[in-house]
Amino acid sequence: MIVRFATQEQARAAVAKGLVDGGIHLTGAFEYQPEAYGYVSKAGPFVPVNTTTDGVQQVYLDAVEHEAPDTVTAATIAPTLNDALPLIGADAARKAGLTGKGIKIAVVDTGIDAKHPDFAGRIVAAKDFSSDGDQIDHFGHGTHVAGIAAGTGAVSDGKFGGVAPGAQLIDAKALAKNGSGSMSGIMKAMEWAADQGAKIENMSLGGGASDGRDPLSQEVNAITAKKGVLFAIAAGNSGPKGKVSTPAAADLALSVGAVDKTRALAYFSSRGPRVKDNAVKPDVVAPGVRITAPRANYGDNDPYATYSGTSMATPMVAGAAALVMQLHPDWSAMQVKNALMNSASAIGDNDSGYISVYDQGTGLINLSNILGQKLLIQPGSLSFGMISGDALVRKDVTIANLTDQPMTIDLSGRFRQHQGSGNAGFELAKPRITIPASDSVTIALGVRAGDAKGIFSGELVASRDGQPLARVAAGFTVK
Amino acid sequence: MSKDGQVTRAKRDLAAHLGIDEGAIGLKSVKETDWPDASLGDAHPGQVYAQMMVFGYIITLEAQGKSYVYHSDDATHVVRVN
Repeated sequence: MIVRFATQEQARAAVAKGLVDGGIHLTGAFEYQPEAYGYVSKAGPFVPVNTTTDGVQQVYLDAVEHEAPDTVTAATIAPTLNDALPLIGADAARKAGLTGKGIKIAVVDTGIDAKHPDFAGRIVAAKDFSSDGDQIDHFGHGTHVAGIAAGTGAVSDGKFGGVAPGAQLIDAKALAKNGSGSMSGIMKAMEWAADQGAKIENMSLGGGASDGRDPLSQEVNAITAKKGVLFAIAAGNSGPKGKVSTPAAADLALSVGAVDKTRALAYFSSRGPRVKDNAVKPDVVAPGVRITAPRANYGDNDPYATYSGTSMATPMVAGAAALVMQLHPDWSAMQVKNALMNSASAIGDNDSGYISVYDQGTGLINLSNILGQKLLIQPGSLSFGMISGDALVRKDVTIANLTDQPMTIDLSGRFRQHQGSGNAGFELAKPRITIPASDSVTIALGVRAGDAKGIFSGELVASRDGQPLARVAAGFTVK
Repeated sequence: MSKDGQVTRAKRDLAAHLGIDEGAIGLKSVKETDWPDASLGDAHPGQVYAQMMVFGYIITLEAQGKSYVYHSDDATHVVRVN
């Protein structure tokens, strides 16, 4: 069980007491949000805790541990990690000398095979939070994910090196040998990894579709706010009908969908909008189909395996974030997230084959664009929520000029039907602005329901001399 | 590491579950499938799963006049879903 309290003090007090109410036994409190974890005693009857205990706001079901398998095999398909990296501009970043050096990436997963030469000298901390009780990657998922993010490719002479081969890895094992784990175990691993100095946490995992208010999603927001950690999180593999899952649904998460090597959206990639509030999710996409990367249990089989999933797309983005952090060491987690979103390239034809922001966010991450990025627009997506009538609903964006020269830019926007009919109004306070050198300007973007009905997908584009410099995803739903 | 091996695992599990001999269990069907994640199509609330596509099987067994459905990967993981 996970129990949310009004304050952290109340959560800790309840843990000290050891028992919240009949049947629920609390064994620990989380550090970064007012929640405690524990179990339900089989002996005690379940009594609703919020009726008798001060501060209890909600009780969530945590996982039940199951018997797990020993191993899982990989399909043997042509290797493609070396093909995938150019799709995100990683080759250009490498030429520019970016390797992720000095950045710690935590992999909250099934563990990392430390014996694999692709991780020699790279794993700086490791701890087990799973039900396995060891640090071994029995399932093979975490090793593969870590290799995509930061493997050196030593066994393949660099061919299957990851996006950020100079980065350091933190092995936060929280998924057991069957590839699953409890929410509370994941949350403990996230907090530990943040305390180890992780600047990025990769979470190629997910539960059910969420509105971003579940404990796991809230933990992402809390750790980002308090520790400045950027979370790259798999959108999920429930597409094309299934929605983005927890914890990718978190507001502050960088939620990642998958494309194949032709830049087509993977059929399995979970879609938006986010359930209940119809917010824009996922945030970006990256290659996640037939990706070859290090295989666990090194020495007993082939050194590399080929897997597909948003699990594989996510470490592409985590590695890319490490390169951006190396390039801009003073940037916050949200600046890095928004830069990756601003610089992404939309997939799909702009007219006949339009792919909405609820499928791809701002698009396929593009490190080539980030190398010469002149603008940073925050936030990277605008979710207007549910609107109605002729009232203009406004949201602000702040546009920073990253150059040492004043810059005049043109702003344009357009909305299309994701599901629905009619035409919604779109209004920019200032379609042309000049931003002083190394300064920023805040402008308002407004939308009006008009005669429209349904869910709308759009974007705000900042251009100079007709050349797009940065993009922001936007969306709203007409009630 | 095969379809046959997973059917055998499923039969072994069902035999133990029902307390009957493996020979009393019949194989109704085996279908190949791609599971969207490590839950093998048997996700539980409060639990999270590796978001990797997993090749496996839907195995339907028959015993004592009832059908039992198993989900499996292509290695060693078999779960009874009904």
